[in-house]
Amino acid sequence: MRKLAGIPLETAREMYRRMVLIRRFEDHLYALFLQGTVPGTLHQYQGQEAVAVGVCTALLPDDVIFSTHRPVGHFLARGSSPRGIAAEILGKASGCAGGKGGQMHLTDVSVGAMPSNAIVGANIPIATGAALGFQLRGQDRVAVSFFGDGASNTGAFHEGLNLAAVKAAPVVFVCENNQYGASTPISSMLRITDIADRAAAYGIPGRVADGMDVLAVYQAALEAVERARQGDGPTLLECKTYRYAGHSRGDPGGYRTREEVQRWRERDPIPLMRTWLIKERGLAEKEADSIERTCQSDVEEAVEFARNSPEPAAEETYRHVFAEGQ
Amino acid sequence: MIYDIVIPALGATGDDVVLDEWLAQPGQFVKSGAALFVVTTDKATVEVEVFRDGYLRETLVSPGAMVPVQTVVGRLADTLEEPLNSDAPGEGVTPSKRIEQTRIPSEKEASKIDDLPSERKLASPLARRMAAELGLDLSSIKASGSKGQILKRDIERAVEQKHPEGGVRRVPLSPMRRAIAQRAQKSNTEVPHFHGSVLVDMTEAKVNLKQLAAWAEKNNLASPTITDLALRAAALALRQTPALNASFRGEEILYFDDIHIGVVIGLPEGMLIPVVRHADRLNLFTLAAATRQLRTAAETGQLTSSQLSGATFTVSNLGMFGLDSFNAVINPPEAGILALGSAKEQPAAWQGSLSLRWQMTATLAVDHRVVDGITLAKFLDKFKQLLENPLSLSIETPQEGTE
Amino acid sequence: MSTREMTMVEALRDGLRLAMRGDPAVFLIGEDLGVPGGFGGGFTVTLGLADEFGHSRVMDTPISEIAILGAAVGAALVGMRPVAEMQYGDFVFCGMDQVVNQAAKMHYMSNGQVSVPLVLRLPVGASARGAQHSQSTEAWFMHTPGLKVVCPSNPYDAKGLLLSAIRDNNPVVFLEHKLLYGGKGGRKESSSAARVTGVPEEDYEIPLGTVAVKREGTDLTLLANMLMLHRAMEAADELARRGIRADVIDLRCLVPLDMETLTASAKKTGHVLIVEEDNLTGGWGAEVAARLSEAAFFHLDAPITRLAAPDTPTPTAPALEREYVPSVERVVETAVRLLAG
Repeated sequence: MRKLAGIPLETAREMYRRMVLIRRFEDHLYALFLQGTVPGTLHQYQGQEAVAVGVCTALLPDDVIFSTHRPVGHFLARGSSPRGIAAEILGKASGCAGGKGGQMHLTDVSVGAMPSNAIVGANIPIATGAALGFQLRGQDRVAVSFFGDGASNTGAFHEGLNLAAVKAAPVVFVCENNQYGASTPISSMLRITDIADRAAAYGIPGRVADGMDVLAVYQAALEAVERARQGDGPTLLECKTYRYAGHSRGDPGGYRTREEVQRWRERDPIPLMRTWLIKERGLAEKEADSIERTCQSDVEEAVEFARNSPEPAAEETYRHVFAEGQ
Repeated sequence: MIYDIVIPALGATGDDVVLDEWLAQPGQFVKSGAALFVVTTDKATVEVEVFRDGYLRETLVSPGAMVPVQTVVGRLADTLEEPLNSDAPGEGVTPSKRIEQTRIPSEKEASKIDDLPSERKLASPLARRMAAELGLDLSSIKASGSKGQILKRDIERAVEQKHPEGGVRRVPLSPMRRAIAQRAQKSNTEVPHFHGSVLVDMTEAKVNLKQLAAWAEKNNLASPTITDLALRAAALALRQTPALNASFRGEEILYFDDIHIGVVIGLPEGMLIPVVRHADRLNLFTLAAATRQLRTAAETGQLTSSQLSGATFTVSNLGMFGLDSFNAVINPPEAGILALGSAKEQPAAWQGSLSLRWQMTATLAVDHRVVDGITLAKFLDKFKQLLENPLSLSIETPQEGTE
Repeated sequence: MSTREMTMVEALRDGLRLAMRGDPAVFLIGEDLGVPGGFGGGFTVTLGLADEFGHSRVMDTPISEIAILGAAVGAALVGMRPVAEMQYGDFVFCGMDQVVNQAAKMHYMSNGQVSVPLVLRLPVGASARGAQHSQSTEAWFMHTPGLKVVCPSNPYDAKGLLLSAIRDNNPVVFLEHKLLYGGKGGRKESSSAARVTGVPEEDYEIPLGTVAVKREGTDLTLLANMLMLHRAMEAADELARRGIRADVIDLRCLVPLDMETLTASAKKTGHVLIVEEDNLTGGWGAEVAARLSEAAFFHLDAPITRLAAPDTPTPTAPALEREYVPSVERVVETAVRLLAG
C-alpha cells in the first residue's frame, strides 16, 4: 500500500466509505437476485471498487464520466444516490432513469454521470466528443471513459483514442483490466500484457496502476486528470483489477479456478484500505465498523425504498422518444 | 419470517435446470453467503448461495429433479419453531408462466385462406363503398378492370344510366324515404321472393259492401272498404295457413300465434305501414274503424312507433290507382305481402255462363326460405274463396285459430 | 429580404454559415472539411467555412466514422450542436452503432435527462460510383425510433430544413442527393441537375414534419423525394398532356411525417404512386404505403403502388444504373397503367 501522506484524512475516509458502500450495495442486490426479484440480470462490481473510487475522487463536480454495462460502482463512486440506482435496477418509476434505462443504462447528470453504455467500447469516442465539446467551449472540464480490457480490442477504442490524441482532447481513458472479457481470459485476446502499451501507438502516455490499491489508482488518476485539464491531452490509464462475481449473474464463473479467485481475494481493496487507515492514519476500529454499519443500513434503506416504490405507468413507454423544442 | 428459496436466473437461456444436491439438511442453520445447493444449468454446474442467515426448514425438490427457473425449491426461516403453514405466503415470487408457442399455420392451410368463394365480385374498396352507399348490387355492375374488378368509373357509369344528361334536381333523403329505401334494399338483397296470383271475382263483394254501408250508417259504425274486406279475408286465410304467419331468423323460423297485419298507406312523401293488431279478431266494422283511425293518424303524422311495428303480414292495395296487378316487396322480417290490383269489369265465366263480372288480381309474394308453393297457393285459394263468398267475412269465428 | 440564385451546395453552405454565426455551440466535424486547399467536405459544402470559423469549429478528423459519429454524440451530450458529415452516406454503416444504439436512444434511456442535438449529413443517391457509394438510406433511420429524417429536393428547402435541423434538440439524419448538389467550384457532379433556385439570403427555417405540395390534380397522387421528386414532376407534365392530372407531393421530411396532407390527397384522387430511389423491399415507400392504406382504404380505386429501385445492390455502368433508378418514362408508364385499372 503506497504511502500518500499528503492525502487529507477526510478524503481517504470518504474513499473507504464509498468502496464499502459499493460492496454492500452489490452484495445486497445479489441477495435479491437469488430471491428472484431482480428483472433481467446484474453485472456486478465486487473487487473493482478501488478503480471507480480512486478515479472519481480525482475529479471535480463539473467533470463527466462515461460508464459501461457494469455501472453501479462508477455511479456510487461519483456520489449518485443508492436509492435511485436500486429503484432503476428494480424497474421502478423512482429509478434514476424512471425505469427506462435499467441496470445497464444508468444516468445521473446531477453528478456528471452520463448514460452508461451497454455496447462495449462505444463510450470511448463519445467521451472524446464530450472532451472536444469542453475544448471548443474553452471550459477546463474533463471527460472520463471507463471500459474493460475487452473494449480495448474494438474499433471504437482505436478511433476514439486516436482522435482524442490528435486533438489533445481533455479526456482520460480508464481501462479496468479485470483479466477477462466475459468468459475469455485476456491472454487469449491480446499478445501484449499491458494494455497501457497501446497508448504509444497513439502518441499519448500510458500508465499502469494496481487496481486493488485505491490510493495508487487515485494518484495515477490525479496525474492524468490534471494533464487533461491543462490541455496536454489524453492518457490511457490501465488498472489491473479483478471481479469477484461472474461476468453477469447468469454466469457461474466456471472458467476461473478457485485458486485464482482466492489469490485476488487476498488483495481485496476494502480490507487493504481499512488496514491502511487504521495503521497509517490512526482511524479507530470502532469508526471503521461504524462506517460499515452505516453503509449497510444506507443500502438496506435504499433497497427498501426501491421495493416499495411503484412501477412506472404504462404511458411512460411513449415519453422521451424525442426532446421538445429547439 | 419464512423465506422462499428459489432457483435464480442462471444460465443463458432460462431453461429448466437440474437440482443436483442439497448442501445442508432441513433443520440446519446456514450463514448468508454459504453454498446451499448445487444446480446444473445449460452452461455449467453451479453452487447457489443462501441470501441470509437462517434455518433451512424444508426442501421441496429432491436431488435429480428438473425444475424451471424461479421454482421455489425450499424454505428458510429465522427460527426453528415458527410454523410453516401454507396460508402465510412466503416471501418470494410465483414461478413464471411458460409462454405457449403460438401455432403458425402451415403453407397448405395459409393458401386456403386465399381462395375466395366464387360468387364474391372483385371491386376496389372505393367502388365497393360507393355501391353500398348507392344501394347498388355489385353483381349487377359491369366490371371494366383488367383483373375483372369493378372500379369507381363502373359505378359512375351504372348510376349515369339512370340519370340522363339534362337538368337534375338533387334531393337529400328524408327519414321516411331513407327508411323505405333501406327496407326495400334489404328485402331485395336478402329475401328470396316467390310470387303467385289469383283472379278474384269481386262482384258479390261489391254488393256486400253496399249492404254493410247501409248497416253502418244506421248504427253509427265505420263503413268497411274493399281494403277492409281484403284485410279480413287475409286474416282468416292466414288462420288457415299459419305457415305463412312466420319469420325467417337465420338458424330457425318463428311461427307467430297472433295475426297482426300491416296496411300500406300511400302518402305524398312516400308511404307508411301501420299495423292492425289481432286483425283476425276484429269484425268488419271494428276493422274498418281501426284502419280509418290508422289512416288518419298516418296522414297527420301522428302514428306512434308501436303502431308501426309488430306486423306478421302486410297488405298493399293499389287498386284505387287503376293498376291491374303488381308484385310487392316483402317487409322484412315478415314472410309474405299481398298486393291487390284494381277491380275491373270484364267478361268472365260465372256459375256456368259468360257475363260481365268485377275481377281483381291479388298477388302474393312470399319468402321462399319460409314458405313453399303449396302454402302460397293455399292462402290465395282461401283468400279468393272468402272474398267471392263475402258473407263468410261477416261470420264471427272463434278466437282460437283453426287447424 | 434579398434572394440569390443558389445551388443546393451554396444553400447548404449558407445555412451552415448562418447557424455557426448565430450560435457558438454549432460546429462541424468530418473528413476533409476545412483542410486548406481541400475539397470542403465530400462535395464542397463546407468549402471556405474554416476561413471564417477556424479549424477547431470546422474540425477535420482521420478516417474514423465511429469516432466522428461518437464524438458528435459526446459533444452533443455536453451542450454542443455538432453537424457531422459522412463523406458518402454509405459510410455511416461503419459507425451505425453510434447512430442507432447511441444517438437515437440516449434521451429515452436517460428518461429525458440528456439529449443529443446533432445533425448527420449524408450524401446519398446513385451517381455511377457503384454499390458502396450510391445507397439511399432513409429506411434504416426511419425505422429507428428517436431519429428524425430529412431529405430536401431543392436549394430553398435544403437551407431552411438544415437550419431547423440544427436547432432541433434531437438527432436529425439529413440526406442530400449527390445529383442535386449542383456544386460550383471544386468537384462538380457531371450529370448533376445543377438546379438553381432563388434562396433568401437571410436566416429562415422550414419546420420539420412538413411535406410540400408541388402540383395539384385530382386523378393521381404522386409521392416522391429528392431526385425522384424531379422525375415525378417531369412525369406529371407528360401525364397532364395525356389528360391525367396529378397531385405531386415532396416528402422532404420522412420523420416526422405529415400524414394529414398525404391522406387528404389519397382520398381525393383514389390512386397513389410512390416513387423512390431506395430498394423496394422495406423501403420508405413501404411504410408510407402501409400507413396510407390504413388511413384512406375506402377511398382507393387501385392498390397503392411503389416504383422503386429493384432489390439489387446498385450497379455502376451507366446503362445498368439507368435500368436501376426509376426513370421519368417508367413513372409515366406505371401511372397510366394504374389509372387504366
